[in-house]
Amino acid sequence: MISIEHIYFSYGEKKVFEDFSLNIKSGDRICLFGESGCGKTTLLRIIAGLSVPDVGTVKRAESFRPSKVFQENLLLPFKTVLQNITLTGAEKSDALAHLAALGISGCADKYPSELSGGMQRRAAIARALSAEYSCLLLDEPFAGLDAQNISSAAEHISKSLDGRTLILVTHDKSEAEMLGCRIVKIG
Amino acid sequence: MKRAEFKKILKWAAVSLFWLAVWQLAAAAVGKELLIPYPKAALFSLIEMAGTADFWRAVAFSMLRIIAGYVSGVAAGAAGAVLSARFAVFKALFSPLLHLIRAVPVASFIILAFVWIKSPYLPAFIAFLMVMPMIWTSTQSGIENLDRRYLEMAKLFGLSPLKTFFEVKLPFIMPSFTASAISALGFAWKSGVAAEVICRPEYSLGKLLQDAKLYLETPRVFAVTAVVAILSIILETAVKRAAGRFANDKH
Repeated sequence: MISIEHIYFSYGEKKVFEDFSLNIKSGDRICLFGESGCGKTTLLRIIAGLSVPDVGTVKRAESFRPSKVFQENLLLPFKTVLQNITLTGAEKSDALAHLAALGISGCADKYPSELSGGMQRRAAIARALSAEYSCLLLDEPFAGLDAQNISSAAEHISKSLDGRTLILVTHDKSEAEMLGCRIVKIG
Repeated sequence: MKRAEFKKILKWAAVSLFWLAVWQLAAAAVGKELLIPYPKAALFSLIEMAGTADFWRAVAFSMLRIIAGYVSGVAAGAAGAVLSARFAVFKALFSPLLHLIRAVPVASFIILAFVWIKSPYLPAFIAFLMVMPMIWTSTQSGIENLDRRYLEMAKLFGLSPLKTFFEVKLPFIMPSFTASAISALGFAWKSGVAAEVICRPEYSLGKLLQDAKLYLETPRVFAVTAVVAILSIILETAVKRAAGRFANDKH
């Protein structure tokens, strides 16, 4: 699905990747694991096509269509949770089903500012799951959630994947285990 | 009527009464109608004017001129902001011009433009000239300060450029645009009437004001000034309501 070949990437003087390669097959579940600042989020951005490496190539299959839980939620503050989700082209029924499965069905018509941090996080997860995708990118998806919510959200994500590719960025190996991810060490 | 609304009206009435009392006291202290007329005299002058067709024509034409200048200034300012944010060359070319317009006193522009433009059109042009840079600058800064991460989110979820513009960019830009549109209206109104005072077009509040001053009819000067202020408040409230409705629609 994605082939990253000999990439180099730097932020000014700081080199993040030097001759880095990674091959991700369709249906893979991988976890990009490493210390803070090692380039996990950058790699996720490169995979998504939001950043371009200085040198090297990134090949994506034609069927590649990403969906993502961003590190900062990025829910539009002037739209309700449901509007935020359907903006991606998702069906209303799918959106409501994911919201219910994540335990926030009562938040559909609320604005992000009316929700707690944990509810906003789950709304961002619901948006990513409701969108049409072939590859789900999760950047610290469970930040701000309690253990019980992490476990139920991970279970729902796992069920929803239905054979599609998953790329997870996390500091916590137990999250990778819950989602059945293969660990890829970065840095 | 809700209790809060009633309280608001009561407060407004009390404040108005206070300032009317200040006016009355000032007029009594000076004791010369030529310098400060009594509120009653200004009111009678206003009632007298309101009974003539020429007064209403002046109100209508002044509003028409200033609104035309305001609307075209808003449109040009918004278009300029979009182009400046998009093309660095455009920004480099026009930013000195905007600085110049902001720095030059409005009276200089009125006198200069009076040489080139016929008096009926001058107030509209001056209003345009005051409004355009205000809208341009604040809208451009709204566009430039747009949080790029939301644009990346839109790109990742495959939103079309049109959808991204209307659903993501525009709602983020609107607050800075509407704030400047509201304050620009006051400037348009003041500069437009100032231009009318200097170039005296037929049927204008500025001409009424200037004529009243020439014939030493101070109560009339106060009455026309009050009309200008009231019209400005009405227009500003209308724009604020429209902006508020948009904001409520988009939360």
